[in-house]
Amino acid sequence: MTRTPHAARAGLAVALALGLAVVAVPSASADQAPEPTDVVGVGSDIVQNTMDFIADGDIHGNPGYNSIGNKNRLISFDATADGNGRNAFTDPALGTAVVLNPTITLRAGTSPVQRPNGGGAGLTALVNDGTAGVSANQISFVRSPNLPTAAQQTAAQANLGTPLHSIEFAKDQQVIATASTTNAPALLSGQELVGIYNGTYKHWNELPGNAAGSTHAIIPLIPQNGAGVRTVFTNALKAANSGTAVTLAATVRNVQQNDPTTITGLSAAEKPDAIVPFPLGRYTLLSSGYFHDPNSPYNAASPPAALSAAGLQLEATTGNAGDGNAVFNTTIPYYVIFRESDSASAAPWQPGSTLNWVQELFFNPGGPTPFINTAPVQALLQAAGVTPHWEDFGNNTSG
Amino acid sequence: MTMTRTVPRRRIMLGPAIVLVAIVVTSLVAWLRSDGDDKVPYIDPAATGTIGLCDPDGRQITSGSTDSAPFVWRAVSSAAAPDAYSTAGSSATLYAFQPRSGVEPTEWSGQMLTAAGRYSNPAHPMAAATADDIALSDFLTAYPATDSGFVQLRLYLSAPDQPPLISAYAALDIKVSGTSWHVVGGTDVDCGSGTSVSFETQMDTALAGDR
Repeated sequence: MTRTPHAARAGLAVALALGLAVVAVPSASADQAPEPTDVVGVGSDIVQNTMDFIADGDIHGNPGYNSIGNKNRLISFDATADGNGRNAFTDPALGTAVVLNPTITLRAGTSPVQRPNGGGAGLTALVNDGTAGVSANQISFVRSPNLPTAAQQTAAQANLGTPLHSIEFAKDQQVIATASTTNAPALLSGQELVGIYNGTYKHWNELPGNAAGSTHAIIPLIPQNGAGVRTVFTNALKAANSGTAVTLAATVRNVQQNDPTTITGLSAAEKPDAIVPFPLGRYTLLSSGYFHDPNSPYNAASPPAALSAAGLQLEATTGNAGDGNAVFNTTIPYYVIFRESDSASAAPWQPGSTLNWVQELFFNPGGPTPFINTAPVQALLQAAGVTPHWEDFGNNTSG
Repeated sequence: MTMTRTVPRRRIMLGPAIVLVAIVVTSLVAWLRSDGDDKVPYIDPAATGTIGLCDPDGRQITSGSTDSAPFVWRAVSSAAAPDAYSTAGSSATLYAFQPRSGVEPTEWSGQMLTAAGRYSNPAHPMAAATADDIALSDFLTAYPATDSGFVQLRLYLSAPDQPPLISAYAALDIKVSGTSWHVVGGTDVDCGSGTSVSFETQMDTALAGDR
């Protein structure tokens, strides 16, 4: 009988253990990933907080859908990788920091993909969530302040095999924000903004009725490409420009949407001259103490200080500007957009239910009120600074 | 000659057995006729107290129509809130869950029947409904009462900056028959042992103040 030397056996055991370890190691994953039967949303930044509250409740003890504890969850991926709604950047130690393309894992067991940042980016991702008429069903719905375009409806039919269906669940307002100390007039009309953003008015004193105003150059800011609120703003400019799209001047700077630091983070010299379209709902949320100082580490005994909207102010929503026209103020609709085929699905979503996920959550004609339109959710929306408004838009498109 | 008659052992045992069977059958029939139909077919170990239901006049009710909206106006817990849910701003929300035979209560599906209600008395947390809240029939359309007609009501507690307390809760079983429901079990509660203000009412009041 040949005996295996002790050292050899030990080596074999280690090799086997290592081998087993390699086999047994679980796949790496960052944040929690949704299960196949969870409902997954992506898209708009401005709609993200309200949808977060609808899914998980708010910080005042008001429950959301997932608070019920049902098996299948409503998961809404924020547009931004940061919970405070800020953009992520590459490490400045590795060179000039540039905007990062953060990723999300849409479903457990799949590779991370680019995180859609904005309603437009979300719609693009949804219509590409399938090919040749067969849906991949990684994305269930999109949050957006704009309806799908005709081209997106066509792409959805071709790629997913179904048109897109939209419902509106709330209305927000987009107004002009400035620094608390500003050279901007108290009221700016849509027509004046057309002149500012196309470069006609470069200095404050060039505005109608403002000859005595500051001689400083105006710094017009606009939400980044792919942001639904950018589309809302450019559509409002187009409407104020007699239906002709406005070509943005070279002085217009792209900034992260709905982020107060786009103004409060400017130098003292630039702050008074900057303007940016800003949602009333986000301003209300900032003022409510929902966001906390991200520069302080988490500590349950000594929570970071609550952030506020200090340093930022909104122009009034009523009155006439120096050119005699009404002050700029446009509606931001909050849409949820999904595959129409999902609303007709015969497959119940939760165990024991008779409703599919669209009926349970968003759209259920002739049946019980969908969760998003129930009275408790309407109260959540009001607390978030938006006006509850449920309306079916079917397969409508936007320009 | 004395004859001794031996009674068969089987006959000696038969008499008492017949009596025993008669008692058992009678009891069974009586039980079936009385509350046999109302026997709750499950046990929920997370249910640590019960719930009393109240009408708009503050009287406890034990039955009603599934079509009434709201389902009830107030739901009062018999059990006190834990310390973490006895702070200012703590609230209670009433849910309906669908028992399913052979499935653990943690796996049942449910829906909210009210918004969160801020309660004044942590000894008896309570949820409040408004006229905008749903009827039980809305829940039943989505989640039919398939387990002998039973629906379980739960009162979940929450508090500012705290996760909802769903591992232990007050619960009440109700049985649905046609368009009516009635309580099975439960206990007496004082509907006026505190106050509860629905978040819906809070928001309406706040917005009215803004106008």
